[in-house]
Amino acid sequence: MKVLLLICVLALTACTKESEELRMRVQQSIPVPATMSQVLNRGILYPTAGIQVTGVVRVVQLSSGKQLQIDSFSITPGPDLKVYLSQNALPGNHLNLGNLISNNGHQAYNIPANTNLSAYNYVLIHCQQFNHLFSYGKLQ
Amino acid sequence: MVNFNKKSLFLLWIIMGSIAPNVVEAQGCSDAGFCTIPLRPPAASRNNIQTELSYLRGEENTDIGNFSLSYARQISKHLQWDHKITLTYITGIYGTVFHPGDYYTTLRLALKTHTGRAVHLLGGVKLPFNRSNLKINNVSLPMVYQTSLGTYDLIIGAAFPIGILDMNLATQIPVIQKNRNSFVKEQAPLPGDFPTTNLFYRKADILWRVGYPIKKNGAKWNFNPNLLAIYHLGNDSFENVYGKREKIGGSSGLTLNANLQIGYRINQQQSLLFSFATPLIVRDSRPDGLTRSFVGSIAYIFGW
Repeated sequence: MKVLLLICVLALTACTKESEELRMRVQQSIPVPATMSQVLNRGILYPTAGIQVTGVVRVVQLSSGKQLQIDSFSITPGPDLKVYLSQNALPGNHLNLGNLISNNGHQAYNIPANTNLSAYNYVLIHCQQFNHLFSYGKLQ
Repeated sequence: MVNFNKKSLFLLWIIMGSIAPNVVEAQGCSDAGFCTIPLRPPAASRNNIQTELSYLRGEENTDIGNFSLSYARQISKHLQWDHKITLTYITGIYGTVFHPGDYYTTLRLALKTHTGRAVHLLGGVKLPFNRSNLKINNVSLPMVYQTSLGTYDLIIGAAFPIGILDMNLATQIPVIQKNRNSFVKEQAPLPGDFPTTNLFYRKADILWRVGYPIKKNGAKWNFNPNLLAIYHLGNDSFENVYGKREKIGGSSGLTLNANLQIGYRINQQQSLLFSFATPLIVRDSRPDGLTRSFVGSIAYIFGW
């Protein structure tokens, strides 16, 4: 009991605080979804068991490179959600595009320049920390 | 133990001299605990509480404060049961993290050889309070900002004298790897020489400490200059952005630290322990975030 109490006290003491530099750089580094762009392929996001999700995904060609955009989006919050381009509807052969920026709203992820897009037919939203797939969408 | 004399003081001075100007960045201990868990009982009391406050200079200008609280109970004449928890404060370019680190529980067995010399055997486990994936506002953080390695470790060790030297041998083996760090260098918003440690997988360590205890009979002060060698048994690895595991070349090998421990006995029940350490030999790559250029700590021990 005393140990549990101590763990609870320790857990309550936990906190984090971002630096001013991080705050500014994060604001600058989040890709802005481009409106005037050529759509290469698109899909609809579907949930896995116990998850609620709505949203459409599309890969667009910009002058600066390719971008994955997620629109009309809402998903059940998770602790460590990542956005993957994947060869299958399950993670394994995937390209990690980074942390999910937000659980809702319009957002974009830059795709590395040398990516062979034809190899990736799916978009996945995956909780990496607990290895649990939240959502998948087939790109067509 | 040996008597205080000019030779002892000269050796102490040499070691202190080698510590002070050394600002090489290198791995410190395998985490806040493995190196500082005393293989010998802290005191002869039945119960002991120890609080320790450490300052560590980490990589990329991070400053680390570590607080630990330990409780040791003498179960029988030969057996002691220890508990230890750590709480860590880290500040640097990314911001500030303040979070519990690990819980240690160890059993210590005191034996005597046929020549009457004391040998202490230690066995225990380290349990993490987190999975090494602490974030600041959804930004994944490098390992140096993590308060735990996120591994469940087995710790086995022994302490015994050889002549005038005090030997400590120990190993820390990650048995269950629950590190879920998600830092990817290419996606980092800030510059810095932090390697990718996404789903970091860590190998075991072997520790060997050779000390030269200096204590005058009945004196309040005692000194233990020592060399601490840590050998990392293999290259660590991470998962790259393509979901494939990559080994980190140069992450195996030897780290050698110089360490000076100074004890001060306040009275029969209370004592202080100061410790200063800095690396002398380093591994080529140290992705676990345990790079330290300096470690200094003060511990207060109360026994009853």
